[in-house]
Order: sequence, then C-alpha cells, then structure tokens
Amino acid sequence: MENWKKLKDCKKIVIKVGTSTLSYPNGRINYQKVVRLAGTLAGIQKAGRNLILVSSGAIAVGAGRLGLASRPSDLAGKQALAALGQAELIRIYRRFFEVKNQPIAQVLLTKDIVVNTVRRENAKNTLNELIKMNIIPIINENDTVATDEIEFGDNDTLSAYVAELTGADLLVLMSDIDGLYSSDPKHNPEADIIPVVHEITTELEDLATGTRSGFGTGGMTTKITASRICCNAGIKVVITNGSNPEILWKLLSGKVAGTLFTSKLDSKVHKANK
Amino acid sequence: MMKRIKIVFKIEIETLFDNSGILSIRKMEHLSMICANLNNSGASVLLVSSGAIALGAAKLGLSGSPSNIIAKQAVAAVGQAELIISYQDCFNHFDQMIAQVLLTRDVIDNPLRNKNAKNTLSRLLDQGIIAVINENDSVSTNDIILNDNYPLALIVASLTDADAIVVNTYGGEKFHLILRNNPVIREISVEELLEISDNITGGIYETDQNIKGFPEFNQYAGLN
Repeated sequence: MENWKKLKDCKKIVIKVGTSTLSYPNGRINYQKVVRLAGTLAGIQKAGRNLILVSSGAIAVGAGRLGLASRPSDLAGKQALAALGQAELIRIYRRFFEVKNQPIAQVLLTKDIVVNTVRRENAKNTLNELIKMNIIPIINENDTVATDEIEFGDNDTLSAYVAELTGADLLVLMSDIDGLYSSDPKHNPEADIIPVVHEITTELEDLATGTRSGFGTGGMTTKITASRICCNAGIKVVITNGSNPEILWKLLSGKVAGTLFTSKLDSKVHKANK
Repeated sequence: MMKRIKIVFKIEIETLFDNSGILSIRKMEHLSMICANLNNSGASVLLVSSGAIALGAAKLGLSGSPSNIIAKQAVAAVGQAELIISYQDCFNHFDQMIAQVLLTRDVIDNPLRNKNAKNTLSRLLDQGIIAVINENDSVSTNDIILNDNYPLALIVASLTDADAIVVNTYGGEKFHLILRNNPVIREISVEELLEISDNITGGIYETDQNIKGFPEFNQYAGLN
C-alpha cells in the first residue's frame, strides 16, 4: 500500500489516546497501558520524530482517586473531578516518561485556540517551542473552565486542531476499534476495515454515523470530523486500535494498521501552510 | 452549619524556593502542612501559586529563567507539571487531596468561563479539596509579563467570595493577612494563622496594627 508507506516520512505527529486506551472497562486506570504507551512514544521520539500527545483520562483517574463507583453526572462535579484527575494524570505520565528519560510538558487548551487569535498564537508558540526543545507536550482540554456548549467536548476534534496548529504531518487517533469498517461488523461478518480513504464523502459519513453503536465507544462521528479538519489542512489521519500502543511502530514503519485518510492537498501546499 | 472561612494563599517563589533558586521541599511541605491544617480546622483554602517557570528551568537544567516570552511559556508548561506533582507529594504527607486549576483572565468577563470557574472551585471547596491555581501560561502571557500573580489571587478571591488573602512575601515564618473590606493589613505568625477561623469569627481582627505595603490589594481591603 503506497499510501501507508509514506507514513515512514512523517516527522511531526500528533497522537490522540482516549480513556478506553488507558483504562479498564470499569473506568479505572490501567497503569501497564500507560507504561507501554509512554515507552513507545519515548522510543519513537528518540528515533528522531517529534510527538505531541493528546490524552483523555483525567476524569477516569480522578474518579479512581476518590474511589467513586460512577462518574458524577453534573457539570460542576465533572469539572472538579477533572481538576483533581488532571493533576494525577500528568503525574502518572511524568513518572513513566521519566523512566525513559523523556521530558514532558502539560498544556491545557480550550476552543479559544480556534477562534481567538491571541490564544491561538500563544498555544502555537508554546507547542512549537516545546517540540523544538525535544519535549513531548501532553495536551488535554482545560475542563475546569470549559463548557459543553462552547468547547470541543471531545479530544478527537481538539487533536485535529492541535495537528493543524503545529503543522503536523500526521494525526493518529488511537481508539478501541481497529479502524473504519466497510459496514457494521456486528451485523455483517464480512465487514472489512477500509485501509485507505481518499475522500470523505457523504456516503462515508453515513457509514460512520449510522452504525456508530456497533463500533464500540469510539465515537466515529468525531473521528470523521477530526479527519475532515486535518485533510483540509494537508494532514494525514490514521484511525487505529490503541489496545496495543506498540502498533505505532508498525504504522510509522509504513505497514497497514487501521484506516488511513489521505489528504487531497499535496505536501507543497502543506509546507506553505506551515 | 457555620460558614467556613475562605482563604486565598498567594504563593510566591520565595515561599517555595531556597536562596539558590532550587525548590525547597522543606518549605513546600511546611506550607502544605499549614494549608492542610487550616483545612482541618474548618477553614477553606485555595492556593494561587507561582513557581512553574523556575521549576521548569531547573528540570531542564537551564541556568536561569529564559529571557524571551515564548521560551518562558514552554518552560512553564514543563514546570507546571513539576509544580503540581511536587505539591501532591507534599500534601500527600498530610492526607490532603489537591486539584489543579489553570485560569485565564477571561474568567472575569466571559460569563460562561466565569460560571465554570466558580462552579469548579466551589465544588472543590465543598469536597475539601485544595485547589492549586495558576495562570494558564501556555495560552496567556499576563502574569509572565507582569512577573507577579497578585491579579490572579484577586480574581480567585472574587470568584470564590473569599474572606481573606494571605501573602508570604519574603518566604519566612510571617504572613500578611488581608481581610476583605478591612483596611487593616496585619503581619501574623504561623500560630496565629492556624487560629484564623476563630479570630475572624471572634472579631479579634477588628482593631489592630496597620501595616502598609500591599497597594495592589487596597481595593480588596476596602482602601482607596
């Protein structure tokens, strides 16, 4: 697959991991997964690429810390939990990245980076400076001041804007599904992963949204939205299964590992955007 | 239930770092003990803490704080993680849970942000969790340029309707107590600080000596 082979040349890469990748089905953190993810990312960074991690999981970690059986349903409760959990989450990452001698930074963003030019410039400068310093930024939405109505609401979209902001070559969405299926695998045993998507058509969107429930908790709609943002900015997107974080090595060596969204824009346009 | 006294601590570099610019775990632990103890005494405590850039620079082995703003923002992103982790370590010794809240100035005039920040902070206070607050330097440069966090301390005091702001400017054993709408600013010891709930409710602070030198808090203290 020629398109996948090009991933070997991607230098600046945004990796997005969801709560499902980092935790057990009961919502508690899976430390072993974090260790493996941190080890993989540190290794890839050492091999000469620049990584930016967008990570969910603050609320899950916070709930674990407080010993809650379920998440609070009200906004203030979630936000308080996120404030507690983000501190714990960054502590866990810092611990496991430090073992690999990889410095990290914490960057919390809100949707302002899309609409407010000052915030946008600041975020862009901070992130690019961190990348220049060989530090892996670990990004999350700043939930304590964010509201559902005015914010990203999901880290798929946030990660797409981060990729755009930093002029990344590739966004990898690590999820609990293997990729985008040609039809709902629950109802059709013949369903296959679509290896390459050249254009996000209405048909494809229907496929993703119409059968979302059959695809696990991955929320394919936001992944399609993220892919659209990236493809319009000349950035490739991969949807892959995060249950084995080491899959990143595989896909970055040019092997097929999920669904790849190519961008219609060529690399020249992309470079000009930077 | 009696109203809990709400106190905002304005934490400066001197409170946390030793003279050579290295984080003093002893100092941070001492501060954590005071805050956890106050929380146990029935007061509500919030921390507005500097230190991210200094810690980030130390973590990265830089000889000092970088001079340009973008580098400072990057170093602050490294250091904020270090800062909150160090606070966790210290507060853990006193079984006190903390949370991290990063704010931008628009919490003042953006109604949704204002409501969210208020809700988050008040929920944390209700749960007895101490919020450790800083400016979100990655997307905002106000405090970096000013090199002081007093505006943020005032914002937090206003968001939470706090009864007092406590400053430990010189990093020593003395604190300055600034009560809302009380134009008498006092120097108090740790012992006095730990009895603050009783002293405020008991009216002990109604008349006392007057210490000047905090013009930035004049309005909060009811001075013109």
